Amino acid sequence: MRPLPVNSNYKPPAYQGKSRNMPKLATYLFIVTCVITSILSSTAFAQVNVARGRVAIPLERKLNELSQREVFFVNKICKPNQTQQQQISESASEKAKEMQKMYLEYSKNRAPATWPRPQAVMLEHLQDAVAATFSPAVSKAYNNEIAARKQANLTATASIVTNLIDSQVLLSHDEIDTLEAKISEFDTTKNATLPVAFLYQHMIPIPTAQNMESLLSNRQHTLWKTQKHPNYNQPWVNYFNSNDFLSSILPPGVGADVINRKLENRRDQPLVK
Amino acid sequence: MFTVITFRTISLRLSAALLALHLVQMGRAEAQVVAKPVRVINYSAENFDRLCFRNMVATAAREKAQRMLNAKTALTESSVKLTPEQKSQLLLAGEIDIQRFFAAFEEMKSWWKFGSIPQDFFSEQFPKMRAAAMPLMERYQAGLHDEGSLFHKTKVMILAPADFQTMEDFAQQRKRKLYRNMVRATVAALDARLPLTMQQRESVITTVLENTTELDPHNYNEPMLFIVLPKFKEVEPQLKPLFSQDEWPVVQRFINLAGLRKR
Repeated sequence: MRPLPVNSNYKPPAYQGKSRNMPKLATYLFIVTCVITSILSSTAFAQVNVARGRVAIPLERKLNELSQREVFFVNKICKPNQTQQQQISESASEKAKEMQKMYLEYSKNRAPATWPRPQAVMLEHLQDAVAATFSPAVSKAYNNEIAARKQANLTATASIVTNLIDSQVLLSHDEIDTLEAKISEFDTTKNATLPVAFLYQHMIPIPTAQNMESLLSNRQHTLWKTQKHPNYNQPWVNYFNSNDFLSSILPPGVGADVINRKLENRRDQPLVK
Repeated sequence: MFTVITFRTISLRLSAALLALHLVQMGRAEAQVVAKPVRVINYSAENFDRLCFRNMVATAAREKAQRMLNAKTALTESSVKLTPEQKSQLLLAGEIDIQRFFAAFEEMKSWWKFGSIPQDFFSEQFPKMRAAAMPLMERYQAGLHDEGSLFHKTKVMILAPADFQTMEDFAQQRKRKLYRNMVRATVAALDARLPLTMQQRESVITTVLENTTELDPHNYNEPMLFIVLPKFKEVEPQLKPLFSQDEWPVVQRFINLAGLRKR
């Protein structure tokens, strides 16, 4: 392979021992650097990594996935015509971009625990968009579905917390129901991300020590205190209801390829103006 | 007889001496290889306890079993009225269960060598230890006072048939509620990835609960999701009509996550 000349006046010497390879090496280094720089810059557009401590996530991909999942649900409930579908889809897409900038800003000056939940932000936006696009009856049906999903998630979270407590203190069937109702009132339960908690014991949102005292009888509380409990720890990235196991579960039409295509199309647009 | 020392013989003897020296050095090198110290693994009886009782030493595991016995007796008391004699009989039976279990555990432990063990020996011994401990580990995690235990047999003996039935019904209701909770959470996990309508959600929960037998209360050794999903697999034909043609492959992919369960 012939060395690439750095400029047109360059003429390789006839023989200079090992130093003869130097221009060749410099050229290769230059090319490699160019390639790496171009890859890094394109990746930077494709995925904005929000890094705060140990949190580092491909935010754009997650937000696109979230917006498309929720658009799928709007389509499922509201049965839009083509124009309405496009309006909702564009609106969700714009919101995802906006949220991306918002989280990027938060990553500079706010602790992840205080960031608003991505799903709640997106749903709130879509509820407004649905109200503006569809008839009041359709909008109401959509809102009811969202409320039911939220309630089901809360009940399910309270259920797994109750099951965990039962495994350590043994509850009667009446106590199971009573505890569940009380646990669903706690902030720890409301703020939990269920699917991931359901996979990892240490992500089950156990109530605070103070709340536990009010939940259990003296005998049960004594038993609870003497046992080891998982240390609750849930990183911010789980707010997207995803992890290695669940990331392959996507609604129809929301495949990884669709998200990638969207990212490709956006590469030439600046993310932060 | 004498030897005439010539330049040739000196040269030959020198070569022989050098060869001998070389061979000796090789021999030493081999000896050094043989004498290389064997790697040693420090594996204590406590390490083995922690392996068997999910990071607890045997004494702590025993204390936990004792506490669970008290909880179990209290749970029995909340379903039927026990006389003080009946209660002490039950506690004694439960205590014997615990003693029997830990006697079996200690006996099994005595088969193995602990302390500083050569690596080869440890590599050979460890899988056998684990295999031998597995039934006991599973028994402990499932609870020492369930069916087949002296505690359970004593309950059968001391309680009147009607009381025993009341207690069994009580236990069954508890088991059903715990199972319902796990099914609900599994459906919510699917819901978070493939949003469901109210009707779909309720129908899936009802279909699974009505067409499968309850799981035993979960012992938290592995992710709950992987334990419940095989139950969903059992009712796939009943679940399929609840989803659209597009959605069903996604649901199947979710159910197939059960395959990730550790064996």
